[in-house]
Amino acid sequence: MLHINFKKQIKSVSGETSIEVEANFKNTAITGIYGNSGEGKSTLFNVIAGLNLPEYGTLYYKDLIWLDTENKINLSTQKRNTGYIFQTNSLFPHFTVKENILYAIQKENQDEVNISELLNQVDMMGMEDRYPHQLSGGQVQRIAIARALAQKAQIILMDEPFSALDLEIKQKLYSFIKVFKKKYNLMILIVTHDINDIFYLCDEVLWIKNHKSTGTIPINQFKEEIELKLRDL
Amino acid sequence: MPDLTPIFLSLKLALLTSFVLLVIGLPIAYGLSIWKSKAKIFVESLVSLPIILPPTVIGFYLLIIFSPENLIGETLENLGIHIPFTFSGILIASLIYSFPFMVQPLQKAFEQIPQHYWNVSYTLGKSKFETLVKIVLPNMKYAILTGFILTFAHTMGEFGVILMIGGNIPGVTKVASLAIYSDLEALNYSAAHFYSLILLTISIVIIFLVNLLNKDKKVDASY
Repeated sequence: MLHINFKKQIKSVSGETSIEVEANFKNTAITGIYGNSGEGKSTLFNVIAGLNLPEYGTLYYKDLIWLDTENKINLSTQKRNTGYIFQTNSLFPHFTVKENILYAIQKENQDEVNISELLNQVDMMGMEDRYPHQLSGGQVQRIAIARALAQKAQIILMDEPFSALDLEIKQKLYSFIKVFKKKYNLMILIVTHDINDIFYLCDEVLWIKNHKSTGTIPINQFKEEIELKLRDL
Repeated sequence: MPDLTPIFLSLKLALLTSFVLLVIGLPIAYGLSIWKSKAKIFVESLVSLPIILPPTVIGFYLLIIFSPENLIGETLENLGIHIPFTFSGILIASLIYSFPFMVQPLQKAFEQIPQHYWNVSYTLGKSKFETLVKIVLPNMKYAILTGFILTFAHTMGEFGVILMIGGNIPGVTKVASLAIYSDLEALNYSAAHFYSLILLTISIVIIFLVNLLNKDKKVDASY
């Protein structure tokens, strides 16, 4: 389980404000991080990955303390081993597919990771020598997932991974992620502002409203809340 | 056939200036790209100053700084280092004169590298230095080449600053641009033509290379 509780000042369109999040993420769940633009969804990811330091916060993964601001504990990004996948340009453009995956393999895992097998699993065999600009948006995201698997990431953070994709590719990627989550028992967190991503994919949701959230809710409860909101409209 | 020494001296000076500026320009450009301070604009203006400052002014002040009558010049003289009217003197002048031609394209390139290239690399367990060497620098290779070529070209064409700090000493500081001037004064037109033609050819090749690089860069940026 990943436990997070933090407060961080952010700049939004309405000026300086603070984001406050407290949540427990399950190990084998796909959790959607939902909220309007500017709510601080990406800030949450950056805090989890160790790229942003909050003014106040605690962060535990399994039994390990990643962050405890009061006791001045802050595990470096390099040691947190999170797989971070962005909306676009997730891969390094000067590396081929194979080189992108090779770059992610930690020295201690070198003998365990089989690149051909990984590419086969993400249905990208024969693409080893292609560069990212020679791939479609969906293929780039699949390679980014393969890279996270090669990295043996404990948590996969996907920041708006579907927003640049068309519907058909998006749906293929949905099934692909579901299969992988099951196979590798991964903790996957997906930032999105599209409720369809959540309906198709997620087991639970962290809804950030007015820069605050006090925990995840099951997908059914989220659906009910959305329906109520739509009825009010 | 005219003496080729001025051409070789120009090439030696241009290559050395470009290499040295690349080495010192990279950390300075990186520092400027991440520096957030109100004082940044003053430092950036200082970096750009040689673009508009008359070369003779740079040469004049360098002569004063390195004069044995002043502290720096006197200290260097005591250590047995003589700067004015030597190859080291014109190298120092070239480093100052061509500084913005290397630093500006590098700084712009550092600023254009998406932050998430750094971030993804960190999450993959890589250090800042490894990220810089394996991810950031290869993705700014066009800027590095452009900076190198522009610095090289600018140094090849230097005249005023070299004349001031280096004089016009054959085999020591008499570079191609000074040789053209000397031969013209001596009415030795064939030699002046010879040196001019070589510099013209080098300039055409350099402009062609820079345009070619910029064209390739547009293709690469499409991903």
